[in-house]
Parts: sequence; C-alpha cells; structure tokens
Amino acid sequence: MRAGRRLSGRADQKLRRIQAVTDAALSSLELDDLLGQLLERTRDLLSADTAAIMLVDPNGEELVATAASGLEEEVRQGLRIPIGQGFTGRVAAQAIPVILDRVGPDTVASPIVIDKRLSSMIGVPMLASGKVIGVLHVGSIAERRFSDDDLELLQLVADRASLATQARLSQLDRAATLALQRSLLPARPPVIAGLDVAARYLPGAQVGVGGDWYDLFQLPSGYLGLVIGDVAGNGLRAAVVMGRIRSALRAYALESDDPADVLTRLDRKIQLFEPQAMATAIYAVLHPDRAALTVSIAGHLPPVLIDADGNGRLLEARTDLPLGAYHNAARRSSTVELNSHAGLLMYTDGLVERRDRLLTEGIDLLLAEITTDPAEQLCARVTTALLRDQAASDDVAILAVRRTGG
Amino acid sequence: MDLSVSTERLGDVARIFVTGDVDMSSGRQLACEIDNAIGGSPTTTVVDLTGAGFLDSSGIAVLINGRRQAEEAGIGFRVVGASGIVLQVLTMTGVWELLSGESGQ
Repeated sequence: MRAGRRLSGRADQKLRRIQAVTDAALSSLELDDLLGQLLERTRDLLSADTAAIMLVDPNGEELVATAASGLEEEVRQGLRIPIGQGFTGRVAAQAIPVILDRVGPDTVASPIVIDKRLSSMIGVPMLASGKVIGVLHVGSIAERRFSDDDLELLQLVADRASLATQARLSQLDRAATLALQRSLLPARPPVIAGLDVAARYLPGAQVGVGGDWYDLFQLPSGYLGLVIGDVAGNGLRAAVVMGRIRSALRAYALESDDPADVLTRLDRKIQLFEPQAMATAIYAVLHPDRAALTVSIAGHLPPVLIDADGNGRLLEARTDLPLGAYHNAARRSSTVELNSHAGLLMYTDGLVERRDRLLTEGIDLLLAEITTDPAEQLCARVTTALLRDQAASDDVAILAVRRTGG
Repeated sequence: MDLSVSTERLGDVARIFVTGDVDMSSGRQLACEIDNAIGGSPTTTVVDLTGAGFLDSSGIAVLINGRRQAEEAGIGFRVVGASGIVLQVLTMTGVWELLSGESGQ
C-alpha cells in the first residue's frame, strides 16, 4: 500500500462531480444535445428536481427558455422573461448567483416553476467575454439549503454551457454574414444579342463587398439599361445601402426610358429613405436600334466612349450632383450616336484615383489602354495596367460593352 | 498626409482651415469641425482647402452634408482655396458649383 494521503470522501465526491461535467465525450455533441446532457447530469449530481437554461435573446432584453430537464414545459411554451424581472431576470441583470429560499409569484416570474411547486432555487449567470449570455438554474421541490460546493459545480456547468453556446452563435453569425454578402454581389452580366459585355468587381475591404456596383438589364421597352455606381463609405454597411439603391434604380428604370428622370426619382427616394447616404452613379440606356446611347451622370467620373478603331475618349456630358446630395438637384440627359463596333466603358474612381496624382492622369492611363479588344480582354488590360502597383483599398467596378456589328 | 483642422472665428465668419488628406479615415474629423463651427451660429462658414492635398468621395460627402446642415441652420456655407488634385476632384464630380457658390467651371 502506498504511503500518502487518500482523498477525503468529500473531495473525492467533488472530483467525480467535476469530471461528470467536464467529460470530453460531451464535446462531440451538438449544442442542443450538449445542453440537455449537462442539465441531466447536473440534476443528478445535485439531486435536484429541475435544471434549466435560459439564453439572452438577440435583442438583449429578454431571457428565452432554451433547454430544460424537469421543466420542459418552459421550453415548449417558449417562455420569455424580461431581464430584471423575477428570479432568473435578476440573475441576468445583476450577473451574480442568486439563491432563492422562498419560491412564489412575488419572487419568480415563471408560471411553470410555480406550477411545479419548487420551494428552493439557485441560479447562476452564464458569462462570455464578461457579458451575460444566459442563466442556468436548478430547483428543488423539497426545501433545502444549497451548499457552496453546489454553487461551485453550477458555475462550472454554466461556464461549459457558455463556451458551447458562444461557439454556436459565432457560427450562425458567420453563416448569416456570408449569405448576405453573396446576395449583394453583382450578378454576372446577362448575354445580350449583338453585344459583347464584360465586367469587373474588386471590393477593397476585407469583407468582400463594398459600395460599388454595376448593372445591365434589358428593358421591356427595348432599351438596354447600363449602370455604374459608387455608394460613399465602404464595407458591409455601404454594400447594404448599395443593394437598396441598385434595386430601386431597376424599379424606376422600368417606369421611364429617360435616364435623367430615373436618377431624379432615385435621388428623391434616397433623400427621403436613406438620409445619410450619398452615391455617385451613371445611368445610360442603349436605344432599341443600338445606334444611340442616352446618359445621365450623377457626380460620377465620365465614361469612356470607344470608337470602331479602338480609340477611347471621355463622353462629354454635364455632370450633375451626386445622388443624396441636394434636394431637387437638376438632372440632364445627353444622347450620343454609336457606330457599329463602338463601345462604352464605365468605371468607378477606385480605378483611376491615387493620392499622389491628378485624376486626369489616371484617366489618361485608362484611355491609353483602350483597344479594339473584346470586352473581356479590355477589362483585363485596364485592370492590370491601372492596378498593377497598387493593392486596391478602394472598391473598383468596371463595365465594358461593345456593339458587335449588325 | 494626416489631416489637421482648425477653426478661426472672425466676426460673423467661421473659417475652417484644412491641412492634409480628407478621406475615409479622416472625414469624420472634418465633419465634427464643421458641426462645431455651425453650432457657434456664425453668419457664414467657410471651409478653406488651401492646405488640403487630397480629397475623395468621403470628403465630398462631408462637404455636401456640411452645406446642407448650414442651410438648415440658416447659415451661409462656402468652400474656398481648392487647387490641384482637390479642385479637379471637386469639378469632375460636379459639386464645385454648389460648394463654392461659383457658377460655371
């Protein structure tokens, strides 16, 4: 027999309790199963009649019954308790353990607990990064005093449950963000007979989306709508606003074939419903015979007109105020003729703007890259030439369209 | 170049001197300065861009919002001193007329 102290009965029991809760086998379970297991073991270890977990709702104002053993009715009914109210509400509000010796309508807010005729309860806060994310509570029908060891065990269980819950919430958050991002990305331009179309979208922010966009759509009237735009700001926030503006522009484009009219309505909508937003944009329509283009420019850099020989020059048209800048801003449309094999290249300022040089210098570099190449190759040339030495910090969007003759 | 802004009140006119780059990261600083200047209820607020070396779309947004804010407060608003890169950006995006009060480009 080895010399040395044997564990006292109490410490031994304590160790076994802790092992039951920290058992590695729990790690392989899905969140719901994990919480269920933890609660069952907790009830068992404490010889309690009920064990339950309530989690803080995303709005941060209520606790929602999420898992329970012996108190399943709370979960079934989707019980909600405002933080601050009743027993669990108090635990959550004050972020401290609470022991309740007298359970009644004046001390607890859950009618199910009252129904169960619990006489003693103990609740501990579930914390993650210092914030309360839920409450774990245990109840006994027979009157009893909960010990410090009981409290310690409960806190251990609560910590375990918090970790698992946080991990799951992060996962859901990421999935939701990804889904939103994907919905905001510009679609591949459609294939249009008689036109060669290509585009580029290079968001500057790490989040993978930004406020720049392009759009191209065939209208029932026979006109073809072409859009390039740039919402001020960056990242997800700008992208979300962009999504709404992109959608509204399409709606107004269905109502009118006059670009100035479309942008005027869009401007009004933005001023009313997105008071802090500002955006630059070009809306152009290719006429049904494809021989002319009508364009309206809202604070955006002028597009490049490409002739049949592959020479590029800036389209001359008045530049009106950006969208969202000023109420009742005047807008005008200009029309240019397009010969066969003519083209248009629209872009956002991220392509040509640099801290240390004039905008016109960047634009000259762009014009120098214009050729008779098909749209796809043209986009590649332009992107390579202008972004070669620069990691894009600003978003870049490009839309190139050429008539393929006929 | 980092942005630095300062305001001088001369009689009824609040003049904001801008030095450096106005962009996404520094735009808020200028917005606050304009906000404070307008809050002091001058007759006119002038934004002097003589020392500004760069201005992008976020800078334009700040200036336009400033103009709108001033108008709502019944105060005059004018941008002056723009040159080089900054002037070109303001003219090519069609906002110079509105901000400077000058007609024609």
